Amino acid sequence: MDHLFVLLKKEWLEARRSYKLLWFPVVFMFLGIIQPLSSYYLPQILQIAGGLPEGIEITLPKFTAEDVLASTLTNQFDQLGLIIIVIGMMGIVVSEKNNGMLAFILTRNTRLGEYLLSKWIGQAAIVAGSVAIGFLMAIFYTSYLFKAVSLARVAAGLGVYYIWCLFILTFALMLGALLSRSSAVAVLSIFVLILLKATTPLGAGFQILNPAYLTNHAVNIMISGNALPHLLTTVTITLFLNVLFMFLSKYYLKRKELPSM
Amino acid sequence: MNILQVSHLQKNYGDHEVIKNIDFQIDYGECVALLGPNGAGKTTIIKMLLDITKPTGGQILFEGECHDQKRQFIGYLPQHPTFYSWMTGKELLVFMGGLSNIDKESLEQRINEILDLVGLSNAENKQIGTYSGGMKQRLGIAQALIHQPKLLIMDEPVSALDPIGRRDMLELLKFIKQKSTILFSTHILHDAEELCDKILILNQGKLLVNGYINQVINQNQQPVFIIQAPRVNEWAPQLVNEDIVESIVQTGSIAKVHVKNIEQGRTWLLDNIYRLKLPIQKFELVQESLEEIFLRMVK
Amino acid sequence: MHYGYEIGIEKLGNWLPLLLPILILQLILISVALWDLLKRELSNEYKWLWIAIIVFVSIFGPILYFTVGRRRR
Ligand SMILES: Nc1ncnc2c1ncn2[C@@H]1O[C@H](COP(=O)(O)OP(=O)(O)OP(=O)(O)O)[C@@H](O)[C@H]1O
Ligand SMILES: [Mg+2]
Repeated sequence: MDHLFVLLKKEWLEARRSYKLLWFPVVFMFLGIIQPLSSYYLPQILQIAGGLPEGIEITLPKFTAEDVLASTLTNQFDQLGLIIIVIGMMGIVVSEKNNGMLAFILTRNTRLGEYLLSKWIGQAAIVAGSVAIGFLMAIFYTSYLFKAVSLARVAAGLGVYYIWCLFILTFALMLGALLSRSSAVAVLSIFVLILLKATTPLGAGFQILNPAYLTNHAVNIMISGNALPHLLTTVTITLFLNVLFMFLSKYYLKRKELPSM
Repeated sequence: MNILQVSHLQKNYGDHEVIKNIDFQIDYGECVALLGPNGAGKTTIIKMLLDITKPTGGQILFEGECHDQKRQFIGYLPQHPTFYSWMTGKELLVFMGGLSNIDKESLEQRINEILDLVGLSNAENKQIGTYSGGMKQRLGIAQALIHQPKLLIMDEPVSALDPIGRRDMLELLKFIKQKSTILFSTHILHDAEELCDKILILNQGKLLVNGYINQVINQNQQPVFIIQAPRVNEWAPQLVNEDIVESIVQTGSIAKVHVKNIEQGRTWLLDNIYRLKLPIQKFELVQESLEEIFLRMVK
Repeated sequence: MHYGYEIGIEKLGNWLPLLLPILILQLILISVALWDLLKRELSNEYKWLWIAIIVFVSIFGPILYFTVGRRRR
């Protein structure tokens, strides 16, 4: 486990030197602010844009604080946020694989498993921190502009949402192990993940197996405080898929002749 | 027991036989050069020793065990070391040392020693991205030595350096050699001659020579007559005789004539010089240098 | 056509404290990206290109720089 610690320290240093530790949370803070702000000022924004002729009143839906937080997840974090996570993860295995550093590290006392785990833990921590701080901004703005929300509910919902984030991350990590270009990793990850998301409105039994449906669970928990049926099944399946992806990555890299310096 | 024992090593890439059934061994304290022209297969052999590439056939044993059990005792310098450009030299050594199970207390001291040894002490806090090629090479050696390996394997440690850097590196290797067993590849014979006890000459995946340098010279040296006279091009082609002459090499106004038998060759050559009325400036019998042996073998 | 710019200065005053964090975040991103870009040894052409991207492509400019632009050595 000593090696894992050494590798994690390296991940941390790299995140600092590459400014990921700065821009990742900042983007999510943006995303967290935008939704409450634009929901609150929607009437004025429409007015400024001047799209409405005089005299016509449109009835805008009245948002509750919970609605706003929920749509922060669905409209911001799960769209731009998802893409940002993938972009941030696309190079994590690919670059070290291609420049020979991975093969080189493995000539030391390191195992592939430790290496992949260090990548996973490091990035999962960055994503966790960024999503949390971004959502904290959302909660802060929502409480100020609308009304205070139940922190317990929001935290529970966010926890469920984070499991979906881990899925995004692990999927991108696996593609990084399988493919050799980070652009391909990004394009394919985004394609598959958006596809999974796109099927969620269809409902149906398949959603029990769909990690993307965790966002729906999270939203429901935030709004109503109750879990939808099959939450636990979906969580278990998602976690299982994460473990499976990690093993597949390890298995593939183990058998492949890695580029070396 | 040998520190390294390689037997029947083979590697194919598709149909291309890159390494063809190679055997060699290295004993404790030896310094061995793996010598061969570009594309001979030096890097391929070294990558198989480090388990980066899997052999198609054969066996590699370190003190009788496979690489997995012996990682700790091998230090490796790749041919083109490109470490994390965003790390400083010192951070890289901390990282590599940590991966090799050196405990924190001794690591700090070890790093200072090693940086001093390779002469990077005043650049230890600069990012590797700003290092020159020579500095990267020296950092490469430092990381290879950080865990005090018994066997140091280096892929072309001096080839990419300028004459001064190369001189420094050779001096450094001479110093390291006193304590460790070394295997390094090079395509420059001079480096091998200067540093090593043993050489392995590799060409197109075949091991042509394996032995101590003086033995190699004695066993493979051929007598050469040097004839110097104007207009080599005109007379040299007339000295061809399959029974007596092995080969003729022309350089400037000199022809180097390899003969099969010294006595017979001398008489025949002198006869011909007389017959052709060559205005010779020099007629001399010399022994081939190691370089000439090497060039002849890999031709 | 009538554009309803009736929104007054005093209203903008209400917005400002809420918009300020966004501006600050954006400013941090831009200045860190520019600072990193300028201290590197790159061709001037490349630098100007990225300066333009960082400053003018809203929040995505700096992010683009951190993910893509920094890879060039
Ligand atoms: N991954 C690979 N796939 C196919 N062929 C390869 C591969 N790696 C090496 N080769 C071939 O193996 C042969 C030996 O290559 P190698 O790199 O071992 O040579 P070398 O002796 O190290 O040469 P150099 O002095 O240029 O470093 C070359 O013909 C090369 O084309
Ligand atoms: Mg080579």
